[in-house]
Amino acid sequence: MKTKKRMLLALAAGFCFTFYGCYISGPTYTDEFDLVITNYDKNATFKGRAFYAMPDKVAKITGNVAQGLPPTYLSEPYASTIINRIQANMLALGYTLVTDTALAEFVLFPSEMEVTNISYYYDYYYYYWGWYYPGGGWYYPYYPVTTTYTTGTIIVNMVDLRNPGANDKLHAVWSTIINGVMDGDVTTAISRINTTIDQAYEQSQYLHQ
Amino acid sequence: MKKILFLIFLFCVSGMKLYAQEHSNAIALEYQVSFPSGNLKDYIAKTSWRGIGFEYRQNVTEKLFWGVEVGWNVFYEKREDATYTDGTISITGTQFRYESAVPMMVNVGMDFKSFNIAKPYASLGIGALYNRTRMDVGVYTLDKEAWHFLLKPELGVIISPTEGTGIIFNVNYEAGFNNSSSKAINYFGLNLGFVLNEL
Repeated sequence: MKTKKRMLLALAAGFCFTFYGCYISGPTYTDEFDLVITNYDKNATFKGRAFYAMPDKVAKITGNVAQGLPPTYLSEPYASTIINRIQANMLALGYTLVTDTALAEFVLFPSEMEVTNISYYYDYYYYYWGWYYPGGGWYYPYYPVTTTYTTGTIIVNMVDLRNPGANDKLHAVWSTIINGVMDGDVTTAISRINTTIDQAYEQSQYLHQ
Repeated sequence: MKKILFLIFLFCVSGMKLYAQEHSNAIALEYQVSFPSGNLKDYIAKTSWRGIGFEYRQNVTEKLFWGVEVGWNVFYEKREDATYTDGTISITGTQFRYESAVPMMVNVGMDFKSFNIAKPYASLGIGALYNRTRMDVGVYTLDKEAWHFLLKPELGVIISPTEGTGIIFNVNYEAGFNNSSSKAINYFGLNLGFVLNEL
């Protein structure tokens, strides 16, 4: 009876260790975190309206303008990468870039923002310093474990200049939000920017002229 | 009337004695491979190679038994650059899909005629299925838990080359019914494990 119980416990332990060893993994590379979201106004008309304008800078959303400070812009080589890729995709869809906004049907506004997320864990209960035994010693609290990561988001809004909404406000008829984890490698970042912008237009074939 | 009551009493006592004499129990530990079906297959199409089951059973008569069982099956699938469109919104990203199912049930079953060292059986489990559905896309996680009413028909065989120990092999179908908060969770199971008898 005891032998059988021990055998069973050993088997159960073996199963548990095996099971734990088969723990499922998640993302391994930073590009696996890339996300591309697009949305459009189903009442908007794109065909037959091929002229568009866009600035030659990418605005950086930092809250500066809301605080009355001058706007900041994304640095190179990222800004030109974003602008060039957007223009290439728009050309492929049959659009023509113009500098005169009087001729343009739409204006594209690219912008970028970064968010740094910080999380920490500190088990104060187990690592509480104190006296355990009379005359015994004490130790410093264990250092908390912190993790941090920064995400970058590219936002492109396509505003219709010819069909304002209520109160004569211009509204976006197409938007894309591209989000991903930022890492330090410039070459990889540029490649990912190009790939995700291409994907944004790939899933927006309704923009085609 | 008194004779009838006495006969009924005698029958019950005999039955209880039979139960004590022929009462046998067993514990089984199984490795489970699961194949999703229905709504679960729409979410995760891949086979689960991560499954474990623990069962205790006790014979009521020579043929009939009852038992309790608990298991854990994990389904996983990575979908690369999948695009999903809902109305005017389209989302593309690598999706990591997880499904964790924990069936818990009471079983009732019947042993069939033994063939040498092999004893086939059939059983039906009734209980509850806890499941947790999770999807990681980008840096975001969508997480959902639900409980389902569960039915589990099973066909299997216990092969006992030596007295007291054996190997169990069975096929079953876990049917977790849908409810107001979650769709049905259904999958086929193929299980292989060890049995210890007469604990």
